[in-house]
Formats: sequence, C-alpha cells, structure tokens
Amino acid sequence: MTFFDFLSSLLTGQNLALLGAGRAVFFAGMGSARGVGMVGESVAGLLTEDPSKFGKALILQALPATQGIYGLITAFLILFKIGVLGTPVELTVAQGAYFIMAALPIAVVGYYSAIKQARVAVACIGLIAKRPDEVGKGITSTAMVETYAIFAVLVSLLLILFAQV
Amino acid sequence: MTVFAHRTDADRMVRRLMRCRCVDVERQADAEINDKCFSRYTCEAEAAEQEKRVEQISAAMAELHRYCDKSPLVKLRQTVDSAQFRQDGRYTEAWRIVTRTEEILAELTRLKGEQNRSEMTLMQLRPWRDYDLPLSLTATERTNIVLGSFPLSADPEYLCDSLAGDGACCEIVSADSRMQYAVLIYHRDDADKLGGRLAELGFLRSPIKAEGALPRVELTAAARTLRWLIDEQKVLQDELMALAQKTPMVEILSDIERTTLTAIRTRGDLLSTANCVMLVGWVPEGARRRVEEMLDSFSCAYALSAPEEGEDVPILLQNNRFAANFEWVLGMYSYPRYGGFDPTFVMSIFYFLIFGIMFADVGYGLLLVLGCFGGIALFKPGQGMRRFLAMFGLCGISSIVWGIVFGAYFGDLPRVFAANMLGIALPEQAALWFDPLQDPMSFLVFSLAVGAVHLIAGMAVQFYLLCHAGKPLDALMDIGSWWVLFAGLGLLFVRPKLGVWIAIGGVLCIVLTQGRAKKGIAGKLFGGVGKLYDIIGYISDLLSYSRILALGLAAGVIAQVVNILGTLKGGTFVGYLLFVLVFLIGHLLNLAINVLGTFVHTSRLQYIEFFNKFYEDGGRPFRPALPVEEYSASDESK
Repeated sequence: MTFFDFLSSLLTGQNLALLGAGRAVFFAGMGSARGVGMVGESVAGLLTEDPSKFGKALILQALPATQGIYGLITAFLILFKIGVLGTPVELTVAQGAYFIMAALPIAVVGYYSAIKQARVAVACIGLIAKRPDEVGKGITSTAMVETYAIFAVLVSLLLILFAQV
Repeated sequence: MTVFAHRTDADRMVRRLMRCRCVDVERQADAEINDKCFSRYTCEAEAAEQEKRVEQISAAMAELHRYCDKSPLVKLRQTVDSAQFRQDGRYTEAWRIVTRTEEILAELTRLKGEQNRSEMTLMQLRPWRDYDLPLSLTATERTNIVLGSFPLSADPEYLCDSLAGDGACCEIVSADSRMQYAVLIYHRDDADKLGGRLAELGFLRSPIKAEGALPRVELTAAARTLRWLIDEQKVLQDELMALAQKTPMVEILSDIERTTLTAIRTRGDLLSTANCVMLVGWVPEGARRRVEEMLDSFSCAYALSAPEEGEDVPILLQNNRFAANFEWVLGMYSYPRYGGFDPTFVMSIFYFLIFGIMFADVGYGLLLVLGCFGGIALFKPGQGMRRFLAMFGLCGISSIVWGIVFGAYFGDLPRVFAANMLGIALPEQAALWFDPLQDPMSFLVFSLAVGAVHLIAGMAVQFYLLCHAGKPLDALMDIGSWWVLFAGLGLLFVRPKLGVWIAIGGVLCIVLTQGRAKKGIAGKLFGGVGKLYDIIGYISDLLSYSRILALGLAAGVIAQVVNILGTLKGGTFVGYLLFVLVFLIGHLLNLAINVLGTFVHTSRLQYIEFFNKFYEDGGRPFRPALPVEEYSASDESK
C-alpha cells in the first residue's frame, strides 16, 4: 500500500461526517469552556465579598454553557444520522463533506458567541455585586447574545435533519 | 395617606402598620422639613443600639447553627405569636441563650489562646527533659549557666573540646531533627571572650523562661494544664451543643429584633414636632378599610386622598390568581408607569403557552408540577417564593399538555425503553399532532405562527391603549395599516393574487399615513417611506421566535441521548441498574439546563419582542413596611 492509498483509505464519507461532528463539539465546547471559566473567575471575586449571591451568580455563569450543549446536540444528531448510534449507513465522500459544512455554523458562531456572552455575564456579575435586585435585567442582556448561537444551531440542525443519506 | 399622631404613639402605630402589610411609608424629603415646622423624627441612636442587638444575635446564631447537629435542607418556618413569645418567658430565655453563647465564645477564644501558649511551652521544654538542674538556676556565685542550641552540623565532640579550651563546660543534653541542645557552664569572667566564640559556632540561646523547677517537673505540669484546657473547652462546647438545640427560639428572637429595627428605621422616615409626628405613606385602595380601622384605634388624625398629578406613586400590581404568579417576571423587567397598562395578564397567557411549547415534554412537565406544587405544600414558603414556584408549576402543566401534542415523554423514552429493554416495537409516532424531531419544518412554521400571534397581540394591546386614550385614528393608522400589510403577506401563501393587492394596499396605507407628523408633502411622503423600513424590525422579531424550535429540539435531542445511553445494556439486571442511574442523572441534568434556558428565553420573548410593541414602564414597586419573617411566620396579622 502506498502512502497515497493510505491517505485515500482515510478519506471516507463516515470519517468526514465524524470530523463534522467533532468540529461542532470542539469549537462550541471550547467557546463555552472559556466563557464559563471567565464568568467563574469573576463569580469567585464576587463571592469573597458576599457568598449569599451564589445562586444569582450561578445563573449568569450557566448562560455561556449552552453553546457547548448546542455543539453536543449537533454532534449527536450527526452521529444518529450516519448510524454510529444505530444501524450504520454507507456515506459517499460528498455526503460526508456535507456534514462538515452542516456543523460549520454552530462551530464558528458557538465559539465566538460563548466568549462574547461571557463578557456580558462578567459585566453583569459586577452589576449584581452592587444591585442584586437587577439580576433579571442582567440575565436578559446576557441572553441577547445567545440569540445568534440559537440561530446557528438551528441552521446546523436543519441541515442535518434534511441531509440525504 | 397622611396621619398626624401623638409622638408617644408613633412606635406602636408603626408596628401596627407593618403588621397590616399594606402601607408604603414614604421618606420625607429634607426640603419638606425646612418648609414646615417639622424636624425629622431622629432615632439614629436608637437604631444604632438596635443594630448592635441584631448584630449580637446574628453572631450568636451563626455559631449555634454550626453546632446544630441536624441542618435540614429546607427549613419550615415556625408559626409564632410574638406577644405570647414575650409573655411566656421565651423571649428572655432566648436572650439568655444569646448572651450565654457570647460568653462561651469569648471564654473559648481565651482558652484557645492559652492552649496555644501552653503547647508552645511544651514544645520548648521537650528537648530539656533530661536536664537535671532547675530552670530557675541560671548562675552560681562564680559561673553562668546558659541553655541553648547548636546547629546539627556541628560535631558534638568537637564542640565540647573546643569550648573546654575556652574555659567553658559544654554538655549536649539532647538532639532532635533540627537542633542539638546544650547546656554551657562557664566562669563569669570568660563571658565576653566566649560570646564571640559561641556566635561563631552558631549558638542560639534558648527562649525558655528562666523560672520554675526541673524541666521534667515543669513538663508534667504543662501537660496537665494543656489537658485541663482541652477538657474545659470540651465542656463549653458541650454546653454550646445543648444551647444549639434551642436555636429555633433564637431564630424567632432574631426575627423579632430585626422587625423592631425595621420599625425604628421606618419611624426615621417620619416628621415630628415636639409632641406630634406626621406619617406620609401609600395605601392600596383595597386595603383602605383595614388601615382606617386600625388607625381609628389610635387617637390620631388622618386623611386618605387619591394621588395628585405628578406624584411619584408606587405601583402595586393586582391580578387574578393565575396571573399574579407571573408578576415577578414583570418585576424582573420593570414595573408599569403609574396609571399605565398592567400587561401581566396578557403576558402570563403567552408565557404559559410559549414555555410549554419550548419545553414540551410530559415527563419533565410532571416533574416541574410535582416539584413546585409539592414544594409549596410541604414547606409553605413566603409569598415571593410561593409565586416563583407556582409560576414554574403552572408552566409545567403547559409542558405536559404540549408534550402530549408533540408526543414527548422524557423524549422518546417509552419507545426506546420498549424496544431495547423489553424487545417490543412500539409505533414510531407517539404525537397527537406531529413529532418536532421528525418534522422540524412544521415545528418551525408553528413557532413562527405562535410568534406572529404574540406580536399581533402586542400590537392589539397598543391599539386598545390608543383607542382608550381617545386616539382611535392614530390606532387605525399606526397599527391598522401594518395589519393590512401583514394580512396581505399572509394571504400570499394562500391566494397569491389577492394577497399581492392587499399587501400593496397596506404599503400604501403606511406610506400615506406614517409621515403625518412631518411638515410639507415631501416630508410626509419621505417619512412614510422611511417608516416602511420598520418591516425589517418586524421580520427580525418574528424570526426570533425560531428559538422555540431550537430550544425545543435541544431538550428533545438530549433526552433521546440519555435514553439511548440508559438502555445500552438491554433488559438484564446490569442493564436496569445502568438505566436507573443514567435516567436519574441524565434527565435531571437535562431538566435543570432546559428549565433555565426556557425560562430565560421565554422571558426574553416577552421583554423584547412583546413589550416593545406597547409597554410603558418606569413604575416604582409598592414596598410596604413588613415585619421580618426569615425564620418565623407570625399568625398575628389577623
């Protein structure tokens, strides 16, 4: 077997689709991990002053976690669709590439929106330090950023659900 | 409401008003004071005094809570009659507990300090156990006796020899992992000469106090003291433990004293002359009778009047029993302006619907209903918490209903469970209408349709408000013309030809009417065309409702994943064990994540898409003076 044969044996539809699933989890998860981490750091600062605000702070910290979940859902849907969970399906290379494309929206938007959302959440931690009653407004502003992750996952999910395999 | 009363009655009256729970006492501005012959009812000293008492109680209570052996997850509030609490001696008893706890804590701190000191002494004495001269003997007539240590690196024999050469007798008493301990005896005259030599060898004088008997004797004494100190602390801690059994009494005391503090602070908002005080506050119309009855029992003069134009009136929302539970959601945004429209009821209906569609699942809905209403029944929380729980409980009902419509029972649990664990093939289709995962396009269209209804309802509220304000023409032009356009666009899908014409009609209406505030024909026309640009806003509002689909799918897909993982091992014993484990952890986690997500995004759809169609906010919530009831619920308000 030549090196070229080896490479082309890797290039199967299944593998490409898995690459797509992986990409959704990688990038959305990376964004969420960074985001939740950022918020967590500032939550720790808040709690040194007033541990009783933990409940409110936790909601804000949980918000940038959703992008990672969207990535996970996208990946699972791809795995369902290509039969990794269930009966395996034969995929052509083009069909595999289709799943890479389908995962693209949530991978990219998930990564960036998680981090941007986390920055709003960090600012809102400052808000609840001074005015704990206004946590609702803080959560709403933070949730505004999430809209775009939702749109992205929506497109990804629709692309996968309507994939011809 | 304005009340004039005797100064001596002020305290009693404020407390009674607090118990009424329906008077928002307004702090009088300083400008007011200069105008009239009033001064502020100063009670800062009293408040500071009371604050100290509250501080004292909470410090003691924090300590008692640490010693409480059982700390239940959620505490039931105790029902208390505070007058009786004072009379039957529990009040003094509770104060005794607090002061005794304080004494014990002070004593414990002192004992702990002594324990540290005596441990230190023990540590210093230990190397000298075998030293057989009394510690108080530091010199004889001609010689000095010095205790100290050399570094371990120094060879003991070399040390003794070299110091003997300088005229000192050195004996190594003991050595441990850090030092070797030595006693030096030398002639007084050699002291100066030896000083330099010893420093070279790294000699350090021992910090032991030069008093007392033989080290061995001192060691035993110190050990005895240490044991005594530890025992003494144990005794005190046991007493604390016993006191901690009575923590509930202290909790009630804390509530009583904090209520007093609130009363004193509220009194600080009053104005007073030498003999008389003036209280200004707000009373909701419905509670008028109750407050009047109460005031009649005092010798005071009062007047209740409707608010005047331009006054900053606090807002109390009044809604039916269903919608009242959603008031706090509105409170998270902002209260309506005084005299403005209270959108709680309209919002609560859509909140209920959209929450259910976004989180449509019979299983999760059932858990929400059981959890929330069960929590209310079991723990009887205060009003705020009760409404919070009731709101989610109601939304759970909506989830159940929509779950049946879309066929979700913990995702696809029944089908997967039957197929993988029992080996029975159930039909794919469990939904009454359609399954969002099988047919996401229909669900998307449905989501947007719900959004359209929601948006049009928001505009309808505005329409109603404008008509109510006597501007039906404005309502017709500003909202009606858009509706014509929407109707046309909607009809495009059904009757394209008719739809086009109606849509064009709508556009014309908008162009012709929306620029009416501008000057000149050209200005009006451009204003109208500019207004057409708002269509972008409506479209983006509408598309925002696609989050109903996304969040609905998210909950469904995660539930499916949990179900697949849970049934991996099939219907064996291990399989069932795995199933129970995965089911509990997975579905609870999914429930938590999705309740948060659904709550946040349903709220957002109300705040941003719905409210910006009509809502005038900016009201100040009605905050009546209330007794503090963190631990106890008083039954004396009747």
